[in-house]
Amino acid sequence: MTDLEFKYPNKDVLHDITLVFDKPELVGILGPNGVGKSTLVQCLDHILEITGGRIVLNDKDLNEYKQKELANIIGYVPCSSSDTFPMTVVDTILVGRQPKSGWKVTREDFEVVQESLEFMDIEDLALRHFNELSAGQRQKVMLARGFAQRTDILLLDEPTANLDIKHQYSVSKRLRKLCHEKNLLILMVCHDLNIASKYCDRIILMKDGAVYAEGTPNDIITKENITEVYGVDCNILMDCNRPFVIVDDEKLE
Amino acid sequence: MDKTDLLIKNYKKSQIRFRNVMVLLSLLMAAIFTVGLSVAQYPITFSETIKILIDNLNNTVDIETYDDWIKNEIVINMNIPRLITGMCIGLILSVSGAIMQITVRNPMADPFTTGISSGGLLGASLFIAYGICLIPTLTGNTAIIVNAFIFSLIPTAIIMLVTSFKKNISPTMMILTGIGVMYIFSASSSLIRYLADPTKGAEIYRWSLGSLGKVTWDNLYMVVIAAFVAIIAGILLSSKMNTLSQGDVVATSMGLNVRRLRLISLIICALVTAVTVALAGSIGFVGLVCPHIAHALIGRNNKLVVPCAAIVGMVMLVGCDIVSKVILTYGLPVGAVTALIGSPIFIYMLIKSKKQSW
Repeated sequence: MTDLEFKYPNKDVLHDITLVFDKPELVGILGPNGVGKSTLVQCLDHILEITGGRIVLNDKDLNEYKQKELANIIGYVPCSSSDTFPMTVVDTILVGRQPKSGWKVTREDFEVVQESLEFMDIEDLALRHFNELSAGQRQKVMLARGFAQRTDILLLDEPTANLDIKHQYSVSKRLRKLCHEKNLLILMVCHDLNIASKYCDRIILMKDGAVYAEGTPNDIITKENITEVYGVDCNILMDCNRPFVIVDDEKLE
Repeated sequence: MDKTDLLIKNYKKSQIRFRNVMVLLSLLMAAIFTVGLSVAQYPITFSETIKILIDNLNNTVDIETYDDWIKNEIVINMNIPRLITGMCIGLILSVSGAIMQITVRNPMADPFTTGISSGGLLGASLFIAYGICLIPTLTGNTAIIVNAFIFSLIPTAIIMLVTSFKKNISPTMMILTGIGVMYIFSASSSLIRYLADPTKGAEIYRWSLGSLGKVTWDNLYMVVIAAFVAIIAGILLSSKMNTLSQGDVVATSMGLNVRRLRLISLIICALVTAVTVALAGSIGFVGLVCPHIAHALIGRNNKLVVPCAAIVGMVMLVGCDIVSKVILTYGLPVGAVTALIGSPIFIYMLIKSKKQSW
């Protein structure tokens, strides 16, 4: 995409964003609250229409795709899912198959559902009702629905929100594995710097609706960048050859 | 057995409840239908009814007395069309309600939320009081039906107009638009009734109560067609309704044109409901409550909810219509009886229901 721009009627949200994604990798999108991370992701899936610039997907302008075609290339899992109706977990994941199979549910669909359940380690929840699940379990079902869509690109908005620490790490690790084994491009909006640093191949750091820096975690997660973007002092340690952020709260109120 | 087979097996097993519910409700419907054949204010025994049916099927009807004639008339020309009408209208209202509640994301939506019945009433009032019909050559009952049908589509047309001007309209705003139009129409109907002379005013009032008894063999085909349209549309839309129930944003990312889906559902519901309003007046409650009863019985998968709501609607409306015929010597309006019998059942089910759906 080039010079991407998105405005709400009286507010510029995104401006001057130019990014290239040309290989399968796990990309973390970081930045403070309200910086436009979710908006960026929704623009990429044509849920929001950009007001300037251009997004090109496989040599074709995003606007030329029908939303139906996009649904077979890009999957999207939003961060919260409060406005859903409680179907069973299997039915919920089957929704992810709708773009491909339409009305009829085939055996292949169930194979994909089974694989998604296994991948998120929630086979035991298969026939439970969605509203009986904990927030973390719901999050996993939503991710499973995203995988069941079987797209080459996955956009995940805070996939580790609501998860406990073990599951934050295990889900992130699975995402990385999925991305490398199946050659997917996964963009995930993330608030946990250390998870992003540990698992992402590439990090996009946003500030004020624009890209502040992008590159490998080792290049991006630095004391200067974090202080500049988030406004907190920190120290960086190295763990398994990746930067690890420790916040220094002395100057915070 | 591999894991997928196990999953499919368990999934099918989880739907056994749906099958049982459907079988039970179908049996109940069949029983109600059978009883309904002979229920009338004129005493007819069950064996007489069977004889009348067999005679009619064999074309050996033998009418000797007035008693024979009236019994034959009641069973063949009143009860049977009325039962079929009740089934069709119950199905139409309940399925439309199920579609509307999901597509406009509101548990209080029913086929009348968008002002359809107020439009129908205004159309009927205009003709009864002033003889104004949109197709001037028509007279009598046909004119009322046509007027009611056309007028009942106006509120939906206004909603569509507003939606096409305002691109990112929320479903709640669509409903509120409908409610706004509804108030204008109801007020106009009230004024017409107030200003009309007492006999005409009473006729308007009678029309507004709604009754299944107005449909005859001659116009029965209209509700039957509308019922087929409703159930087929419901089944075809059910998979998209499942997607939509994941939220607008997710549905959009799945390639669903959410706005178009809303409009299409709205138009289909308006058309089939308009047929019921034109022929039987507005029968409230069924469209609001039956989908919720279906949810309480079999959950939220719309592919199952649509057929289940259809049959719940039939049982509810036909059952209550039979009760309304016998409850007092002169019979009561079915709309009132449905609400009186159905509401306590509904509230009981809401309290008992473990699934917090809304």
